[in-house]
Amino acid sequence: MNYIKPFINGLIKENPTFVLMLGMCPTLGTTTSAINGMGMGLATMAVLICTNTLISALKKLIPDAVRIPCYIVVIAAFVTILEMFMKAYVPEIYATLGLFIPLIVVNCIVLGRAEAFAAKNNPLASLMDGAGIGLGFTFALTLIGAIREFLGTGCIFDTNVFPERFGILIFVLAPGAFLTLGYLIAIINKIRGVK
Amino acid sequence: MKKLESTFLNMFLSLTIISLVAGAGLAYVKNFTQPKIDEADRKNLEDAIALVLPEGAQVGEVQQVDGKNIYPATDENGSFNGAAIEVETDGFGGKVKMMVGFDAEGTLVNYSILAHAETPGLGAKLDKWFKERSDIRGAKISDGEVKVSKDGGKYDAITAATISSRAFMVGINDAMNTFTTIQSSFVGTATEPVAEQPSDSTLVNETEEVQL
Repeated sequence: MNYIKPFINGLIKENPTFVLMLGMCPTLGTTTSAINGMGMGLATMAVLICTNTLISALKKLIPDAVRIPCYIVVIAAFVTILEMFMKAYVPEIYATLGLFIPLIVVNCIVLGRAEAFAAKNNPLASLMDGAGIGLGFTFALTLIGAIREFLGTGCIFDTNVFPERFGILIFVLAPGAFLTLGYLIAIINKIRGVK
Repeated sequence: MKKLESTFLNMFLSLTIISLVAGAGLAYVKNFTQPKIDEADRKNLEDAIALVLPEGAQVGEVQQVDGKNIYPATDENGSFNGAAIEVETDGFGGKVKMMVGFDAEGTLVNYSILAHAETPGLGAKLDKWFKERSDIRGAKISDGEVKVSKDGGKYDAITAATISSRAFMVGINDAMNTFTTIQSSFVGTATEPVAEQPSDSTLVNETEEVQL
């Protein structure tokens, strides 16, 4: 079995944000700056890799009728572990992402990949799928965050590019998230040749 | 191995076992990370207190006045040398928690934002703005309330974040009022007479404060 394919698939062909359109809530909520977007993406990726691998390993032991509660228990446990680790070792990032970390539990990407991929494939392929989807998500969030931060405040990753007073304020506010996401999806659909 | 059938026993067992293992795992990680989390929180608080107090101040025991945490400080001779006051105010995106420090005469030494949920790039600039762009350090309690220039004060609000700036001023004024309240209780230990007290200053809990 080819293990690179699920990775590339998650990264590009089934990019969770631009193609599958999953996890829109954290996408819009946390991308006020490039570093916040990247932090959220990496946190989700860590959860996704762990849950995909474990759920795939346990899939024979979980009866179909109770699979969703079982998946959610596994996901919630990993998210809580991640939250505690972030609080302990990277309190600065936790302080900015705070509320969105526990919400990874209900992020549809995580449950979606458990149901669509991990429940049907072996643990190693599921791990690669989790890494690919997670990296695709991180990439998308960092890109949106960087564009919003650049247009809104004139910085990228806190490095000043042009004076802040020329920033277009709306891009760091909520409407800017919708505008940026909409244009990015349009551009990517054009490249992919989707009509 | 064949996939387990969805019989009552199988469902019961698999859910129970998964939940038990998840619970045990969480308990283990909690035990393991809690000291680190406490340490990080404590360090944050200590750094903030050290930043906002006059240089060389020795931080005393925390006190509760009006439901606020107050960290009084003494200088090397053991006399009163200001206090750091933790206040909360309603910002644009939620509560803004900050530490405000004064010297013995009631001059604002510095402030530190402990936690906030303000808009990044706008209200989130609170932590630097009132030090770099519109310096609030050195404001004296005897000069009255601090205000942003839109409300007739002398401090420029953060561009496009007036609500956050006003909230900040409310927090500073709150801290100033609390400081005035507690200041008189430390007069006996101060090296030099403290500036005149407004007549409305009252001791919240006299007996407790004197022994501290």
